[in-house]
Amino acid sequence: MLPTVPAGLRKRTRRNADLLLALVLIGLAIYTGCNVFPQVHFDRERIEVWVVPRQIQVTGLYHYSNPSRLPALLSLGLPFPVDAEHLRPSTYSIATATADGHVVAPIRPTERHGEVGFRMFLRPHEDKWVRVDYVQGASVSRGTYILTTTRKWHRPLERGDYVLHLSAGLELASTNYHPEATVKGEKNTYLFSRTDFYPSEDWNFAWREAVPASSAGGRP
Amino acid sequence: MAGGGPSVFGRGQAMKLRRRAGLIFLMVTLGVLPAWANNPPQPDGLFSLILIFPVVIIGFRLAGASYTQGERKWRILRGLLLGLSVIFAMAGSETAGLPMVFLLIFGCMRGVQIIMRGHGAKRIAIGLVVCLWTLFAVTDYGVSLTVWSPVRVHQEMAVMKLRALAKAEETYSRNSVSRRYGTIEQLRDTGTPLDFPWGGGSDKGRAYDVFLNDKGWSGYRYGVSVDSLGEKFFISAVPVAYEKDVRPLVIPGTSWLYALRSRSAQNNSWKQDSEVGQRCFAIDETGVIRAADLGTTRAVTHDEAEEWKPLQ
Repeated sequence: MLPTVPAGLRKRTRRNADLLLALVLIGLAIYTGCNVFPQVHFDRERIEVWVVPRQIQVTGLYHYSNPSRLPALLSLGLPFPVDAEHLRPSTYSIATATADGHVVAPIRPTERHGEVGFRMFLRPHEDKWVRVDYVQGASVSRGTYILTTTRKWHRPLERGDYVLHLSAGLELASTNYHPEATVKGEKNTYLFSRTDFYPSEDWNFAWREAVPASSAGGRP
Repeated sequence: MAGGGPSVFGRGQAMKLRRRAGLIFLMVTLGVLPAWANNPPQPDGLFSLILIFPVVIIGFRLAGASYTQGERKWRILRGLLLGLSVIFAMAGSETAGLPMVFLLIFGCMRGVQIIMRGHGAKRIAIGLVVCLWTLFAVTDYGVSLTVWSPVRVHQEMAVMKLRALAKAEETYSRNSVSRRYGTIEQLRDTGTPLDFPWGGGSDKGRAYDVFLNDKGWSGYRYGVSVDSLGEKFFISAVPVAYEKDVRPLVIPGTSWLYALRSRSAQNNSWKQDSEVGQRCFAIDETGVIRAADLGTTRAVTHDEAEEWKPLQ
C-alpha cells in the first residue's frame, strides 16, 4: 500500500501554496541575482600585452565554465589599472570567442559611473571564452596588468599564460613575474605560465629604450 | 463578474483580447531576437519597463478599480514573479524573452481589468493608456536591446583590424630577406598569417581582400601604404560615413526615436546604418595607434596622422 499524505498536511500545503512558491522564487532571485553561489569557474586565461612607445595594447582571453546543472547569470566587471600615468582606456571591446581567440559574437558592455561591466549567461554545463581588447595610454615606461581579481573567484586558475611583446627599440627593464622564456624568432617577447595560479600581486612590468649595441660598452 | 465594477467586455471577449495581445507580443519579441552574445538594455528600455508598475497602480487608483480576493491572496507571489522578471530583463537579451511576456501579459491584463472594473467613462481611457503604455514599454525595451548607435562597435573593430594588419606587416618583414614591409597584395600573395579576430580566420586570403574593398567594411575604409624602400608602412581607418556616437539616455522612447531617425536618415534602409564611424585611426611601423575626430570623413596622410594623439 502506498503511503498517503495526511489530509491535514495536504490542506495546509494547499492553503500556503502561495508562500511556498514565493520561497522558491526568492531562492531563484538570490541564485540568479547575486553571486552568492559562485557555481561558475574562472579557470584559464591567456594574456598578451604589446608595449609600444606611450601605449599598452592588451588582448585577454578568459575561460569560464558552468559545471552546474542550473543555468548561471554572471555580472562581471572589467577593471583597468588606472592611475595618474595610465588613463582609463577610451577604446575597448568584449566578445565571446573561440579558444584560439577568434571573435564569435560581441558583448555590449554597460558603463556606470566609470565602471565597465558586462553580463554573461551560461547554460548548464556550458563553457565560454571571452576576449577583451583594450588600448591604454602610458605617460611613463611602466605598466600593470591586474591579476589579483582572480582571488575573488576563491579558487586558483588552472592555467594562466602571459606574454609581453616590446616593440623595436624597447627593452625589458623589470617584471615582478620572471619570464620563463622568450619566443623563438621574435625579439623582445617574454612569456611566463602558471598552473594552480592564485596571484597575490598584479603583473607589473617596466621597459626602457634599448641601448644600441655599438654603444653598449662592449669592446669595439 | 468579480471585482465589483461595470464591465464592457464579456469573459469570452476578454480571453480573446488577452490571447491576441499575447500573440502580437510573441511575434514582436521573436522578431527582434538579436545575434549578439548578450545585450544589456539601454537605460530607457529598462526604465520604460519598470514604469509599467506605477502606471498600473495609478491607473487602478484613478479608475476606482479594485482587486479580487483571489488576486489579493496571490499578491506576494505575483510581486515576486514580476520582480524576478525585472531582474532577468535587466540582465539582457539572453534572459529577457520570458520576462517580457510576463510583463506584457501583466500590463495588458491590468489595463483590461481597469476597463472592466473601473467606474465612469474615464476607466476606458485609463485602461487604454495602461495597455498602450505596456505595449510601448515592452517594444521600447525590445528596440533598446537591438538598435543602438553602431559607432562605438565599429571603432573597436577598426582598432582590432589595425592591430591585426600591423602584426601581419611585422611578420612579413621578419620573414622577408630584405626586412621590408609589404603592400596588402604582397601580404596576401605570400600567405602571411593575419591574426584577424573576426570570422574564424579560416580563409586568410579573403580576410585580406576585405581590406581592399572600396565600399568599406563595418563602417570603415582602410588604406595601407608602404614607402618606396619598404622601411615604413602606414595604415589608416577612415569612417565611410561620419556620425557621432550617440550615448543612450534614460528618457523612455529614446531607443525608438533613434531607430526611427536612423531609418529615415538612411533612406529607409537599415543596412546602410552599418557604414558609420566617428574617429579616424592610424598605425605605422612604431605600433602606436593614433586617433582623431576630424568631424568629417576624408583620406588622411601619414604626416597628418603623426600629429594625432596616441589612442588612450
